[in-house]
Amino acid sequence: MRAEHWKRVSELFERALDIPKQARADWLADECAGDAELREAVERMLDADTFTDDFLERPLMDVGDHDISPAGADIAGTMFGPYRALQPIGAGGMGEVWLAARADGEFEQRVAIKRLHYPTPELVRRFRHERRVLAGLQHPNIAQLHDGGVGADGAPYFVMEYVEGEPITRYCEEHGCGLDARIGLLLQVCDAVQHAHRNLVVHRDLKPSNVLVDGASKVKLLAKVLESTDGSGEATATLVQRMTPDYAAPEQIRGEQVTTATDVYALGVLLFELLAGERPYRLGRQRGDIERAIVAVAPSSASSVAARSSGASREWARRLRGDLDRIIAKAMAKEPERRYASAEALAEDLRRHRAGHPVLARGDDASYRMSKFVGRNRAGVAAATAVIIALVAATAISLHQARVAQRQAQRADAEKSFVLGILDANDPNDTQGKGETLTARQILDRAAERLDKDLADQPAVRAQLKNEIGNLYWDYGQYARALPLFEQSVHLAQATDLPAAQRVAFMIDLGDDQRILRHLDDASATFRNAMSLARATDGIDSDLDLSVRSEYSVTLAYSAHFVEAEAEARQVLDAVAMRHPKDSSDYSDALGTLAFALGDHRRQTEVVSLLQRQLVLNERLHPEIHSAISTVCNDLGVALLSQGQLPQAESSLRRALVIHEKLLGKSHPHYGGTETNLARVLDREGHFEEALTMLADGLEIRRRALGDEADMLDGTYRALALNALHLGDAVVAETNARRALELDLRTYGAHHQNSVDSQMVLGSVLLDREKFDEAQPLLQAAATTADEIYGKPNDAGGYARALQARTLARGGHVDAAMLMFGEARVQLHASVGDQHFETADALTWQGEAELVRGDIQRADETAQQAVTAARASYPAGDALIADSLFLQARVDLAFDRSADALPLLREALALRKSALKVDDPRIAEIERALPGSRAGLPRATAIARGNG
Amino acid sequence: MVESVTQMVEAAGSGDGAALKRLFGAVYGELKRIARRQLAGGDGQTLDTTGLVHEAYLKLVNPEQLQLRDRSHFFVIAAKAMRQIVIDHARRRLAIKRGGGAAEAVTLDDEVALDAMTPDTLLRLDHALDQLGTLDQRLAELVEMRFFAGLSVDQIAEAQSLTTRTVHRDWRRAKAFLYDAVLAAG
Repeated sequence: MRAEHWKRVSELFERALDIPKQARADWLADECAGDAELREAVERMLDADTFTDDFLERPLMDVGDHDISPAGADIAGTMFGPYRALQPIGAGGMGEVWLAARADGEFEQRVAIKRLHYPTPELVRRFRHERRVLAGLQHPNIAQLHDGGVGADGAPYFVMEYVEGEPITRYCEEHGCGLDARIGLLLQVCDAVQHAHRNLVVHRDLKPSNVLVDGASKVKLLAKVLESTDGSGEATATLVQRMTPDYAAPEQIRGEQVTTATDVYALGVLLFELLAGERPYRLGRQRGDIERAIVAVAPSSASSVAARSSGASREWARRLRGDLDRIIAKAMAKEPERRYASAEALAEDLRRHRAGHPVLARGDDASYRMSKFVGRNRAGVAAATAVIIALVAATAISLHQARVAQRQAQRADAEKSFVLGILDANDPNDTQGKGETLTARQILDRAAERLDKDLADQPAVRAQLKNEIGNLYWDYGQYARALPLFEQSVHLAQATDLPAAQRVAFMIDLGDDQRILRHLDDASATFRNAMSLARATDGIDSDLDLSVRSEYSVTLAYSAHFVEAEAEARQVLDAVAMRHPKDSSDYSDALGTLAFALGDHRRQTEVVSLLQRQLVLNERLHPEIHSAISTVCNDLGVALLSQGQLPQAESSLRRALVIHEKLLGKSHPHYGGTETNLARVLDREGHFEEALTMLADGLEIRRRALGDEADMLDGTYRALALNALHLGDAVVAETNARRALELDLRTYGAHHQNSVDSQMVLGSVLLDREKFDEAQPLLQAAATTADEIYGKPNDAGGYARALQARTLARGGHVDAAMLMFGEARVQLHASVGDQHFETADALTWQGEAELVRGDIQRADETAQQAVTAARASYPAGDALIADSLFLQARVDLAFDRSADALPLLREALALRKSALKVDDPRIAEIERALPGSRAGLPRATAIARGNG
Repeated sequence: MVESVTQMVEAAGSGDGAALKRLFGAVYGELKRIARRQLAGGDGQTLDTTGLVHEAYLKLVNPEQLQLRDRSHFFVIAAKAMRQIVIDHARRRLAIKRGGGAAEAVTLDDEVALDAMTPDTLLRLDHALDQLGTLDQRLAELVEMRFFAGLSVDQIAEAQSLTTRTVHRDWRRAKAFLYDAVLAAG
């Protein structure tokens, strides 16, 4: 548009505003005198003007609470086309509903008018979308769309069939409907929902107030919140927050993808309420409790609820028991894939029950593992069934899509018969067989063997099943057994038409398995391949890409590439924050990834705070007994230990352990792993014996699950070595420390955080055994490598230097030692601060060296700091506090302050006696120092030298 | 001698183009600093743009020394700077979204509720506003002051030396143009 042209448009626009709407068109035609371009420009402005009441009205970012829509204006009496608004009958998130009547004809037709509060471009788009969807639904049990338009005030509206009825539950109560009548009504609801599903529409918000019954016992589904099946995830998340949780399916609570199975769940809840007289999860609970219950707790059966409800007769409850209970349970299964494949399937089973035929909802109470196995594979079957139904119904589906669907259906059939074949062959109830009852593990082994034979001509099915079985092995902690299955699934899938997302998912599983088996180069390569595939299909920063990169970042951290890992993890976190709400599980996962990428030895405070945020989120997203809670609690416990917060670390790890036990049992490697971590904390807290018991137990569990020589046992051996050192068993300590280092060098090479840790532990042990020449280079290497891997400052480098300095001092190189203590102090101060047990240790050793040197002034200062640090980081009663106390006492004696020294010596003695064996030399050394003891040493310097 | 912002405003007001650029730079920098501080200190959720512009005003110029005409000029500039900040932010968010790689630290935290408009819509609005600016600069400045800087109609009328009635009419016209342009582009 040129400037002169704009002037003219502006002028006409302004003048048109003063002209009554009906007269505008003619007036404008006159004014424009055949200039169509001018006329169109003005018309478009005038058109737009009707929508701009609220457009740009709120200054940007000066935003308050957007969820609160402004109260609708009183529009009673306003005309919408031929309809006159009478009274408001409801309000939704973005609009409101008015009762209106057509007053121009002979008869008075009542309708419902739905209009937007204010039409921002985005809302208008969604409103139009909803209108299009509604127009496509023509069903006697769905309230119909009549008309639509733009009102005089510029707000778009549409006219719906007005249903004069009552919510289905109230209707049943007030009309005293019997069991069959209630089932009959629900069958009508099923038909309506099925119709919507055929049109690729999911309702998402089925509840009594949306299911009305009119005077003729006809069900009318109010399509209030209809969303297309391709609706985006974010719409779902916000919707769930607004909707009542009672009818929400577990996947809605979790913010996961909503499918037709979600509506099947809500139909199950509705059926429950109609038959039992109550909702499955008791009212009166807090919203959070209901949500938690929906996700984690199996509801009581409808029959038992009906039995205790006062209104229902015993006969009524009896009729619910059995088939109807099972039908409801199947519709309300927590896992979408275990529900009825469609509303129609639910309806069929109800009809079958009414006709006295056996129902399909059976056998769901088989053993958990077994049903999970079948359940997982049923997912494919259910998906394919849904596709077939969609095929029959949706005429618009393209030929290409149809071919894809057919292939999926064939696959599902093959899968189904394979799974059923295995289960048939292993039916524990089969008394004619050998009578053996197979464990789930044996079934798995058999399935893995038979796969290639039975399904030779079905590579896609084989790929999927291999992945499934691999995952089940993984669930059991059988990582090595899972590996070939994951490898083959990736390999097989390459040559098939499986969607890229699925192939990437297979690759992620393989990479995770390689990583946990410490085949780190393989894992990195797998994730890089997955990344290129994900990017080629879904693009950079797609969810698929991000999920791979998250795993890749973790792998980088495992491989000692912390800087790269951190950069990648931060990018992923930023990108996820852009795509997902900050209370989603995706965001939570990204927080955990970053925490992991930062590692254990630097930025401990950030790591702890990231994990705490993740925990808060996961507590909201999941029930207590869930791996998402236990995993974070375990990681948080380790981070807190690293940060020096021992009591908090202990309670977090104990919580993880309880969940692991309930979820996985005591023989799972996860349980053993957390047990090992807890033992490390207890060991630092001075509970040496308890720690030892726990370490032995953890080692046994992990050995059994992972094999004697498993690479992942290094951490356990390290912890055992430290524990033995604390307990005074230097020989055992050395054996375990050497074993740990050997494993690490073999698995990771020298340039790796685990090797650094093991070098430090072995160095400490050798120091204790006075093998200074061997300890020195090990500790030197540990310090250098730590700085290379983590960058400065990091506490591993600082602690390794403190140990090295101690080695130098004990070996007689006191001056060199003092320099090195200085370096160690600086690094520890900058990384973990002054209230950490590592700082306490370093100060104690430094003070000892200063005392030996005869620099008692300095030693006094250092000792005071050491005691402060030790008391701040070790819990009261921890025997490890004694080291610093004993140092301070010796300094006091050197100053002839025996009155100060005495209580310190007594406290140190009591602490060591509480944790050490009676004949431990560390008890004897304090007793010797006590003034007046038989071995009493009157001269302070002698004491100092003797214990240097 | 270091030129004060007050002097810059005066110079810019009397048509000194270079002073105008320097003024814009100074205001832009100050707004970003205040915004960052507001976000760090407050609940991290909302950014009070109106308060932001006024705070920058008090901080940068000596109000008593400034003529009415120059004061208006300051707000016009501040509104432009605010628009620039917001659009830069939206653009960066889109760039990160599209894998633009290691973007510099996002200045306005993601928490800032741009939720009334997606970054996409904002960029379309920015583009439409450019178009409007070539046709009618006064209208574009009005939108900047009203929408991006949150100034009231009275303040704008004062800044543009117009009656509030005219500002209201301008506003309606500007919105109709933008609404059409934004929707048409979408």
